[in-house]
Amino acid sequence: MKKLVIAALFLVSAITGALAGEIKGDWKFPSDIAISNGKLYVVDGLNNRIAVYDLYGQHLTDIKLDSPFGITVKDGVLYVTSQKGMLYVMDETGNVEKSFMLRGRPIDVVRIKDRLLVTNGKDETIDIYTLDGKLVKSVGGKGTEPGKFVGIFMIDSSPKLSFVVDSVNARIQEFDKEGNYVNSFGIFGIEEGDFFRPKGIAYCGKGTIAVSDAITGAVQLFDTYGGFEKVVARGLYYPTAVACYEGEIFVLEPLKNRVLTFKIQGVK
Amino acid sequence: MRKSLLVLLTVLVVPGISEAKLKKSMKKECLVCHENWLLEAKFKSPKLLTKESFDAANRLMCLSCHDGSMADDRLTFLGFKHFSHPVDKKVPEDFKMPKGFPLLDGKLYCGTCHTPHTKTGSEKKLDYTFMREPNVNSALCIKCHRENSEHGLNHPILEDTENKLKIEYTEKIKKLGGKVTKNNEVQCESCHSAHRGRAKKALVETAEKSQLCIVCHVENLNSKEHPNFRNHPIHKKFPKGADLSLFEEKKAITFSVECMTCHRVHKEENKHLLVAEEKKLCILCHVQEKAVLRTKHNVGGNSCKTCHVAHKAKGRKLWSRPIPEDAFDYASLIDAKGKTDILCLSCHYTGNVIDGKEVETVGTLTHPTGVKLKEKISLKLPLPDRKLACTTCHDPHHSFDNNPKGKFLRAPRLKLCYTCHREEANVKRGAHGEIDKKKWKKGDCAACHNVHKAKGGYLSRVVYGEISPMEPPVDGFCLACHDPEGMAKHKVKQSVFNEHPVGVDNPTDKLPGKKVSCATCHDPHTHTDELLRIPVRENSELCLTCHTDQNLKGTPHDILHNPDVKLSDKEREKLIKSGACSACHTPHNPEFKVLWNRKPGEGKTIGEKLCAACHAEGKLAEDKTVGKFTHPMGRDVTEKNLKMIKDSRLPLINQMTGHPARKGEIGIMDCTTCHEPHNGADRKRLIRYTLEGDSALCTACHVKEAAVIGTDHDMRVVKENFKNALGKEVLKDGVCSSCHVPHRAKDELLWATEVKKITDNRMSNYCLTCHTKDGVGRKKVVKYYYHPSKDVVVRNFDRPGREGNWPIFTKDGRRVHAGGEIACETCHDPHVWSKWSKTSPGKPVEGNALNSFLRNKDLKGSICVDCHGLDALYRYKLFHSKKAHQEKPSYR
Repeated sequence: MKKLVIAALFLVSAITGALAGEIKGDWKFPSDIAISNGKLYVVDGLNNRIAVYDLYGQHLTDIKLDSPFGITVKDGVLYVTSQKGMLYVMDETGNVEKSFMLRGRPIDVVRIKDRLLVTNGKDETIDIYTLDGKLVKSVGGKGTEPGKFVGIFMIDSSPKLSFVVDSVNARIQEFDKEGNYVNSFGIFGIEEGDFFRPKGIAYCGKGTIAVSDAITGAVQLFDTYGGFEKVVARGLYYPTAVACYEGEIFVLEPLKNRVLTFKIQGVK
Repeated sequence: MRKSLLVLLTVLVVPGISEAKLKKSMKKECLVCHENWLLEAKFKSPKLLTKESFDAANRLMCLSCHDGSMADDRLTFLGFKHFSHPVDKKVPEDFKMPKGFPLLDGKLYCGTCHTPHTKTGSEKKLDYTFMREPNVNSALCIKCHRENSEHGLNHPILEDTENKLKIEYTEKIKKLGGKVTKNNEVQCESCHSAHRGRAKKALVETAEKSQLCIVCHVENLNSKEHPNFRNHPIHKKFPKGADLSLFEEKKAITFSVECMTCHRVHKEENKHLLVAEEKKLCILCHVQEKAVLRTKHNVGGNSCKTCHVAHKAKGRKLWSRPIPEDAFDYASLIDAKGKTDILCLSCHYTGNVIDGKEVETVGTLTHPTGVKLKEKISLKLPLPDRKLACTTCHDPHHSFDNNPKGKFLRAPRLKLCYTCHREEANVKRGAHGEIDKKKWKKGDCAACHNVHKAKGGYLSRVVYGEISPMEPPVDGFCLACHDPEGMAKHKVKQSVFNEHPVGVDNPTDKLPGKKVSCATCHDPHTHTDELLRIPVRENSELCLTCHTDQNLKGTPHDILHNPDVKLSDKEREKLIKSGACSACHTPHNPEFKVLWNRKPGEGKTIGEKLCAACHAEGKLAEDKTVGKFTHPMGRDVTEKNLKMIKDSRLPLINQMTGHPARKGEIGIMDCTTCHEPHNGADRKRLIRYTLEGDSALCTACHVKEAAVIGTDHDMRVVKENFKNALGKEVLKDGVCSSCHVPHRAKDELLWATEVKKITDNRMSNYCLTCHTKDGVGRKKVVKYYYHPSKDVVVRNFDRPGREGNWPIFTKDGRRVHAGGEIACETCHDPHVWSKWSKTSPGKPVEGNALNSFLRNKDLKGSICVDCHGLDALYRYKLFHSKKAHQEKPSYR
């Protein structure tokens, strides 16, 4: 009997591939998360703040900001988009070092080298800016063909590539730092390896990408070429933003006001 | 945003398709929303990520595009189950759903109103809300909620609000997430937001504290933050006793008074969307005021509306009636200064006719308002700004006893009066408390006063004929009764002589009034003797309050305490009761001028008559009369001497008034020229200046005679302890007293000593009375003094070369110019030691030709020279020696 229970647990563990933890907060439909130096940043835009926690779920502080939506952390610097059309560059304590206007309705941002790539929900584009806020170019637009978007959403990056959620088209599209289209992957569906309504994306290192799906409630791992690796979590309630940090995947359930953490086993 | 949706639609929606024609399809563009179709097809797959079925109208399915990706409607989503239009809610059976608005299991769901398969969008103009029908001008809302939009029964919308919505209100509505029509009209979404409501009923703002209503109805607002007395206050607690049952029945707001307490926004038949008829609504809270319905203030059966309106009132107290100019004029006329008086006067002004009847007014003389009360009052009466107003005494809604025909008094009339006029309540115990017992209750103010429509000052109910405008109005009030024909005829003015003056300045602040009036001394409401404000018993304190310098204390005229005055017990008792002053004066019904209280005595002057009332034989002071020979008075005093008195600052007495003559008035010398009967500088002699020493009183007029001081004729110089024949001591009674007394003198020259008859000439006898062997001046006996007069006519006419002063006298002492005799006073002036020396010797000295009381220092131009020529000098120098006289005058 004892062996049977251990076997069952092993089986469950193998299926989910992860062990879930939980960080809860008093948020109002948060939109994005980021992790850096042991701190979790939850973008609570409808409360005009970024809530900061340690990885044990202890609330540390709030960074006050007008309608923030997307966030990325690079080398200890926070890059935050605002629904009011701004991009804020700030240190980890929330001191704004720089801010500039963005075009359209900015959703999320990543930095690749000397470029900032911003997903623009209004025009369904990726807008590429210099670090000083100068628009270099816009790529994408509305459509279903490769390089176009319907429901452009979150963005993350590897050192060289950016990965963009194309939500309604149910795919992930890859671009280099200059916005050149590289690749896209994703099959519309509700089975493993499929996307129905992808929302969050995180580059977990070593060529692995984690993607959440708000309708299927799953978080899956793919390689950067689109190859399905595994389902990290399933049965989640409307998961959106994801972030990877030291072998763990952090998944935001905005309607449950919590961030779930999953330890990835066998990550490459 | 719209463009992105347009693209989505072009991708997802087959143009022209209607929901009715939809069929299940496995095309990706359909499955993008119809996940349930996909799940059905893949149900048996072992690799399913989820087994949860999402239909196209599932809220999470909607959210998956509205979470910030296609549009950011997170707030809308969060609003579900809170303040949004209900979903997952069973539609009541009696609610008729219009066609084309499907339910899911009999419940409302997103798809009831929304569908992507809509005709409402077009490539040019997209209805990105996916409404089943265009919701222009709330058309879609009204499809279901028709009853909430009907004209007259609901808050006005659309064309009913055309040109009524100010731009600033529109901005406020939009800021809250509400919408207005293209024409800037109110629509359903101005107040409601199906998915972004912030309050119950999907309101964009809560109405619980009237917040939503205030957005537009600012002008109808009266709150702490926006005070405006022209509107009914909100955020207020309900008054005690308020009947809230109707409000509760109508689901109105009842935790405090708010807009939605009285008004309903939808489905209300009453005018102004009130929860009850106007007539019935106010009295639900204003329970006490309900009684007004049975009074005449319920004009035309208009209930509260007669005077009040809840919004945009014309004055304080939510006044509904216009306030005409005439009312303001009337308020000014009667000096109505109470804060809310003008409201009452908006009806109660002269000439106002309501329902064919002239409205009652308060007349032209009425109880003052706007006056601050000096003390706290026991009765709880309204005092706007702590001042009296009409409403202090009157409750316009009902009388204290709820008598519909009452005068709207807050308490019984007398209680009201006595509440403020506490001291006047003593009238009950006084003579004025029982006026006309048959008609008035004891102490009833109305016996004398009319609170309104008074006839005279002090709100008098009665006035005395025509009184002088100089007299204070109160006197007319008093005299109305204190008149031979009035009810107080036993206490009336009867004397022909003036009573105590009224209308003159009141010299004290201890008694009321700027001018002296009856009420200065009398308090008609008290119960003291003679209703006097200050008692007069014994020391006449009341009189002395004004007449401060006329205190008799310590003077012989304080006859109560003067042992020399013998009073009968009756006289003493009477005098004690009426006070010291009453010995001579009375304020009312005097016997003579100066309020004289006694029968005047005989005399030529007013002073003589007054003084003789006592200082005469058989009277109180018969031992203090002036005697046969007394100081001249009245006409006996010549113009020349009058001038002396005027210069002396002693008063001449006006014989019309009996008082010292004022500037411009004619006065004569009278007793009170020298005497101050109330005290004076010498309180024992009652004289204005002292006598002791230099006889200041005498020398005030007799300035020339004052030169006697310090001479041999000043007895203080020659004999300090000198007493005259009447016992007057020179040190106590003054320098003049050695020879003269003003009263009871021995002869016309007020000589104190009996004059000896030594010669035939009286003038010489005055001197020789002393300057004889046994006389006072025995050290200076004049042995030779005679100048013949028989057969000698001495003249003292002015002539060329006349010099010096050489008076001649008749035998009886009259000074004449012809036919007189040369007497001692021809050469000597007994008061002037030396005309040529400015100082008196101050000690007995031997005289010479330049002093010795001589009038002239030589004979140049004298009457002596007239007769004796050159021989005159010899005769003059040796006049008092034997050489110039025969032993026996040959002329006799």
